[in-house]
Amino acid sequence: MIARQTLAMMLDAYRELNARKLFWISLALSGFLVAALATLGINEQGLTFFHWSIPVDVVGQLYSGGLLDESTFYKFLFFSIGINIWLAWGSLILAIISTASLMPDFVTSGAIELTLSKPIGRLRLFLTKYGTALLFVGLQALIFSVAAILVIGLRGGEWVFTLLLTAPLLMLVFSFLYCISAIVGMLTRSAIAAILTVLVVWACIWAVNTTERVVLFARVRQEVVLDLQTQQRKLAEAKVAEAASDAPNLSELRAKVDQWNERITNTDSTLTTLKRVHAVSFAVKSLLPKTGESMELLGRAIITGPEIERFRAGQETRGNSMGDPGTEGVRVSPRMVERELDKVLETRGVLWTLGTSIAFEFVVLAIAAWLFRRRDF
Amino acid sequence: MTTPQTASPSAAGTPAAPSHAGDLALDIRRVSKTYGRSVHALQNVALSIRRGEVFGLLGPNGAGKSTLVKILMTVIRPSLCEGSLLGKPIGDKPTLARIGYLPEHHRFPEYLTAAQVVDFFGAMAGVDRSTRKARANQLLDFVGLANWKNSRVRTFSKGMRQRLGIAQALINDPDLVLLDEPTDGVDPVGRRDIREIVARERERGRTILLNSHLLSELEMICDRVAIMVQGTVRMEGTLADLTRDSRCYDIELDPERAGDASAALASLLAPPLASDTDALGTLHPDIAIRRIGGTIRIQSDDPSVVQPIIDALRAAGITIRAVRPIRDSLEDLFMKAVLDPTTGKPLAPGAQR
Repeated sequence: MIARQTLAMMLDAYRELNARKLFWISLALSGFLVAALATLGINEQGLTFFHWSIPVDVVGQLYSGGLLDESTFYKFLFFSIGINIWLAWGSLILAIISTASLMPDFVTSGAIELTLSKPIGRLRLFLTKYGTALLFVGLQALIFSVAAILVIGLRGGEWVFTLLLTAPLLMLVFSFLYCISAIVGMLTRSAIAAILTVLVVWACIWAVNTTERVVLFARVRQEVVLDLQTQQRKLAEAKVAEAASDAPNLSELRAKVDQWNERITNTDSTLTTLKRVHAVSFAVKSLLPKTGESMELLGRAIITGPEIERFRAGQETRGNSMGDPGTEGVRVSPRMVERELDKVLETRGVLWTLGTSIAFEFVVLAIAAWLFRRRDF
Repeated sequence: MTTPQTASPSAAGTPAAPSHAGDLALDIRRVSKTYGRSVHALQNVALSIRRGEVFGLLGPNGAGKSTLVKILMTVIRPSLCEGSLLGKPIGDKPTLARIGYLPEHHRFPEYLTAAQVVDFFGAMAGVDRSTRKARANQLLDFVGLANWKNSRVRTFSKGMRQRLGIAQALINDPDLVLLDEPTDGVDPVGRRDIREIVARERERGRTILLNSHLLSELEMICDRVAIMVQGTVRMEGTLADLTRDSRCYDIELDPERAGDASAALASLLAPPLASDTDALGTLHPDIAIRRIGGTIRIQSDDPSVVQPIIDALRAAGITIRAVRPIRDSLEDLFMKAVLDPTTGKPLAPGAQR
């Protein structure tokens, strides 16, 4: 009986989605995007659009230098535009809007009596209904990823089956937000309230994540600066040690050591503050779902480390890699900071990123299910 | 709280009294539901419904009828509940597979067709696919929606939705059917059709609980009724039993000779009781005879009592226009139930606070 009921609810969810115009609009937009990306290509001159060449020097140089091939180009294109922008934002917003009324409609007076009066436990009923709502995003992402695999395979010559991870991962990311929609929709029976709450919570998550990332970047950069300054001080101290006691430039050399000491003190002080701020923002972030970082996991699966390195190396050869020494007295390469940042981010494995997010969802769902079980309709 | 008036279930035309609990489709005692601390939607409700009977639950708005049905269907959690439904404790989920339910103001998904609605709720009730398919067609034909089975619910009128609701309530071939206001918003033709459907289901041996405030509907099809007011059961029994005290005979006379009735009956009647000075007299110590305008009322449901009265009137040359058995209608009973015994005014609608 359990399988029969679950299947019936899945079929009903499909019919409901089928009846919603937004589902088809979203699917059509996905199809349009995939088709648009498929028309793009690269050659020595830059980008191509159908048979026309669009001169873009940077892309042309990367292609000519062997730093960017067709396959990597399409993977970057689909990941950065198709997944990171369209699926992670556009499609997700459409999904939130489209599914917001599912729970209010489900618990509305006159409808909920019909399902609650059937031989199915409230907990299973609620969780099954919740699960079927995720179908919206799952189907969208599955169709998009299959289309993306075909385009990359046919145009780039590489069959990236890891793109199939898009569907479960996007469903997971969507579920982090949909659990909020479900509990608000269940309590208020209002789709508008559910949408607004999800958007506010999502904005808060984005703000916390962005703050943490910015502070982390600043912290890592300060650590790199501190490291470089320490190296410079050692060099200055070595010069002082090498110089004869009556050397004419001894006082100048000692002044340099003092100058490095002062810089190091300043950097250390800033670093201490940044570490404190980061610890707080990281603690807050740990409690919230990580929508952005979860999507980044997909990037790691699709685009390999060597491909990213080649791309970054290509950017550095174009000469805009070193910063101004400024008051810090050292030049900091963005690549250096990015490498250090990557090392920190890599310590946050799949388990931490998804685990803490799933824990958040679990808590919200547990509260929602508890309320659903106890509620009189 | 008023003690419920419970009548004997032995009246003619009604199912036999239960010999044991197995004969009961529903047997509940001490069912209470309190919202917050002070809103008593139900207070110590006790009811029993025999298998195979059509039981009417009636009462004014807010009397607690729907709350009681929702408790039986696990939609609302009772504050207190003892008893059984189809032999299982109230709240037993597997038992719900044997029950059909049409809620009041039900809403079916607008995007589904009639056949899909019946199929979906059949699947939720645990009916296998082949049975669902066969029964859905039969039921839609049964409720008069055969030509609409592939039309979406959004195109249906209120009456069609009620018919569809009944079809979905029967998809699992239930032992007990709970219909909450099944004729709500339905036109007279639709109401008649729904009554016929209920009657046919009774013939098939199903137990039916009808929840309605349309008294004439219930009067026509129910074997027994219960009247609920302010969360309590005020009366319960067959219509015959509940109206026994009110049954009498009216003899309508020619108005020009009605004034002679007192003299014509004088030899038959004993003086009226001191407490009943309005009466013409008494035929037996406990049967009062009254004249109300041009009508003589005999306070008895025994036809043999009426015969000597008729003979005496005819012997006096008084023309008799009609002899009618009279009893309270369900509406009369209902009005009695909702009157406050102390003030004589209707009780406030809704739950007790």
